[in-house]
Parts: sequence; C-alpha cells; structure tokens
Amino acid sequence: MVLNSLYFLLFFPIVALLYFALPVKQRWKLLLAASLYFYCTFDYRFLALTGISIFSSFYFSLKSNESADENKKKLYLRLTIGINLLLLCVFKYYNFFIESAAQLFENIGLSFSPALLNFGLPIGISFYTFQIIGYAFDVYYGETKAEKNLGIYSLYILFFPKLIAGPIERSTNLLKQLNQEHHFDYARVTSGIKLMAWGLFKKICIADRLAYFTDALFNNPAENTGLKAIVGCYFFLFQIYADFSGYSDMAVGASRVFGFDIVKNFNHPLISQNLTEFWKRWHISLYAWFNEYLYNPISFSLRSWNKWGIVFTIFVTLTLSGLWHGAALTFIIYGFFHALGLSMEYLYAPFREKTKNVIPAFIYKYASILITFHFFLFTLIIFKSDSIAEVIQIISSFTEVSKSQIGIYLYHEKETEFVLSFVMIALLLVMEYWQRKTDNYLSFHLKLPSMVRYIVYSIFIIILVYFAVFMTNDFVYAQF
Amino acid sequence: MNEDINQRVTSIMQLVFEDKSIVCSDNLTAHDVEKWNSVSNILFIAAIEKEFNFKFNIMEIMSLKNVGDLIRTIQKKIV
Repeated sequence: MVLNSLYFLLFFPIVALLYFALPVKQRWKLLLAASLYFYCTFDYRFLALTGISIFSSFYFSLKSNESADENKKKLYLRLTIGINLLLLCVFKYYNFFIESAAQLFENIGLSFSPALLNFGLPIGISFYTFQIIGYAFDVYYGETKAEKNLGIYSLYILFFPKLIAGPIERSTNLLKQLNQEHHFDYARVTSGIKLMAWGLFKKICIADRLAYFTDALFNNPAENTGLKAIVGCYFFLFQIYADFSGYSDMAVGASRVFGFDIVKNFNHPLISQNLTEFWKRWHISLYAWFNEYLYNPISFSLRSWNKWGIVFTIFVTLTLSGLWHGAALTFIIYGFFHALGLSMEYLYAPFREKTKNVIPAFIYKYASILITFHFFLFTLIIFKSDSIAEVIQIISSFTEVSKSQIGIYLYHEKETEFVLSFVMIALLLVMEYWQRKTDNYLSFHLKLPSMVRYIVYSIFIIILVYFAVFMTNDFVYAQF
Repeated sequence: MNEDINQRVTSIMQLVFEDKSIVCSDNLTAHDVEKWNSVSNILFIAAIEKEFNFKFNIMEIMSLKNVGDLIRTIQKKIV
C-alpha cells in the first residue's frame, strides 16, 4: 500500500477517525496495529525479520542503559549495529558483492557460479536499519534513555507514514513524542491534510508526468538523443525532487494529523549556493544521520591528519551514502562525485572567498546556484543510469541536437503532456518560492469566507484528479 | 580560572570561525555561529586540544550540547 494509492486514501481516514475516537492513552496501540497492517500489505513474510531488528535493538539498548560498565555498553552497541547491518547487507548487498566477486574471479580465469538470494527486500529496510542504529548510538552516548515499552518502541520504528522512505527519525524527536499525549487539534489536522494533498499533487501530477519522458530516456538512451536527452535529464531532476519531497510532505502531513512533528527532509535544495549547503537541504535526515554517526566520529579520530583527515572522512562518508541507495556501482560513483565536489569546495574555500569579493554579489549568488544545480544534475545522471557506459552515452548525445527537435513536437503524440510538464515544473517552482516567503503557504485561503474556501478546495480536487497521471509508479525512494 | 578558559576559548572560536564578534557563552551552539559546521568543528576541537594540551575522547565530544558543556569538560580535564 503506497501513499499515492486509492487504498491508502481509504486506509488513512479510517485510521485517523478511529485514532481520535479512542481514549488518548490507547491511541498508540491503534497506530501500532495500523503500522503492522501497513507493513504486511507489502510482504508479511518479512515481519519476523524486522521483528529481530526491533527486538534485538530494544533489548540491547535496555541492557546498555542498565549497565554502568563501559565495556558492556560498547558490546551492546556493537551487537545492535552488527545484527542490523548484517541483515541489511544480506538482503540488500549480498547479491551485488557476490556477483562482483564472481566477475572479478572470472577476469583472472577462476570462474564460479555464485549462489544468489531471491528473497526481495523488506520494505523500508535501509531507513529503519539506520534509525535503529541511530537509536542505539543515542542510548550509548546518553542522548536518550532506552525505551522500556516494546510496543512504543516498535511504533517508533514502524510508524506507517514514514516506514517506506523515511525521514529517518531521531529518538530525541519522534520517540519522545510517542510518549506524550496528543489531543485533537482542528488546525493541525487540517494543515496536515493540506500538506498531504500538496505532496500527493507533487507525486501524481508532477513527478509521474515527468516520469514518462525520463523513463523513455533512461530505458532507451540510444533512441533518445540530442534535445531529448537534455530535456530528459533536466526532467529527471525535477521528477526526483517532486517525487521524494512529495512523499516527505505526505509523511509529515499524515504525522501532523495524528499530532506528531517529524523532521522535514527538504528545505529548498535547488537554491543551494554550494554543495555544503545542498547537503543541509536535500534528504536532510539521511545526511544528518551520516554526519552524526559516521562523519563526526571518523573525522574526530583522524583530527591529527588536519585537513586531509577531513577530506578522507568526506570520501568515506559520501561514498557510503551513495552505496546506501542501492547495491550498484553507479550509486557508489554518485557518492564519490559528491565527495569529490565537497572536498574541492573545502580545499578551495580561500579561493572562493577571494572570488566572492571581486564579483558583484548577485552574479556570484546566481552563478553559484547554477553551478551547484548543474553539478547535482550531472550526478543524477549517474544515479539514474544502469552503468557508466550509459552515462557516457547519454552525455555524449547532448551534442546531437538537430533543428527538427526544437519545438513542442519533440515527443510525437505527447505534445500536450510535454507542454504540461513545463507548466507543472513552473508551478512547483512558484510554490517553492511562495513557501520560502511564508510558512503559511498552504493557508492563504483561510481568510476567505467559508463558501469561497470550499470552492477553492473543490477546484484543487478537480485539478488534482484531472491532471493526475494514474500509473502504478512507486515513490523512487521506496525501492531503497 | 573559568574566566581565563572563557577568554581562551573565545579567541579560538574567533580564529577558527573567522568571526571577531563571537563571545563565548554557556548556551552558545553551532546553530548560532555561521561558520561552525561539521568541518570547522573538527578544527575547533583540535585547536582546543592544542591550546589546553590534552585529548578529548569520543564520548566527551559526542555528549557536548553547547559551549557551556565544553567549558566544563575543559575544566575537568585540566584540573
């Protein structure tokens, strides 16, 4: 049951109505039952596996909290990390590494047939594994006390609005809120529903519309050259942003309806002036996780290497963050390029500072935004492609623009969709601009008379249904 | 002694974070200082260690919430 399905549109209001009908102290039980049901709609066979992750981390964190012995605390932390990383590696990375090893051995004349696992992937495994490890660290460092209620802890891991694709919640935020009472708040509920509606619009009207063109390019780059390749790459950037930020808006909105504030995963990343800023604005919860639990400890232990310790840590962190997305060489290279970019940015900071002082401020600002935007666009081509050969094929075909390609007839029989795609991107950017100006960007209509407000809602629903692309497209990040 | 530690930490912060207006206070955090990020933080920690001639361990670093915590940790380490 994905968040953009009709099934979810039925499931969510039922859960919300039952939630507020129950006594406050019992509500978490309903959310846990709903989250377990939500999980099982993907593949109930993995429930035992996720149960091992939840129970082991719950138990070892409790033991860690009870123990005063530093060595024992370390042992419990290592056990939690070990069990959970092992499960993640077996299910997500085993096939990739065994196939890569087989290929390597074949190249040196030693061939063997690798035994592959064909189990599929537990839903949200990359997200909840990282959340569990973060929780174990927080307990170890004394940032949070170990949760004593297994039910509440399970809900913290499985909470359905964020189960599929995050955000990766810190225990200091969501777990704390799960132990508090939440009463019905009309303003919160309606603002949550509006955020969900806008997220759904971004997914089914913008991202899924752009997917038609990006799928055409990345499924068949040989036939989509020149302007089609260029347009396809730009469209993919807006597609993945609308898709993932749309999902995040739905997750934040759904949580808000129940009374919880979960972290925002995006903060206008497309206006970033450099990569350091970009990674504070794009997929915020994942990069905050890498920063807190990987970058900080490694760079701290390598501080005697001075700037080269920092550069080394950037490469380790970003390359692993690329691998987090999936078991493929392209994801590793995607991370590697970001590490390269960030390292250059760090090493050449004095040069950039000098440049900033000699160039007019507005030129420097917009040039920086354009450079950062296009660097990200370049890395996304790697991210989306199946191989480096495909990346080279797509980029080298940029020069094959012919006069016949210029105009709205670039995609025959899809002219309307093509034009609509530009309209949707423009709408996305206008909404982004509006959101930057005011936090109440989805509440502009509240001062209108109620009759007019209902007309506004009706028009939005009509637009949503009329312009939706009803395909069974999962959220891009749901596959991770 | 506390005043002396405050002054020395303030000087290091001004130098590492390139801001002469920074004044060390208990509630000051990375969010309040523009150039205090994950990269400059490591340089800051290394500079503190050099100035006071001791080494932090990872637990001490990870449990720091603000500059007040840092000052108290320094006090304990140099006693």
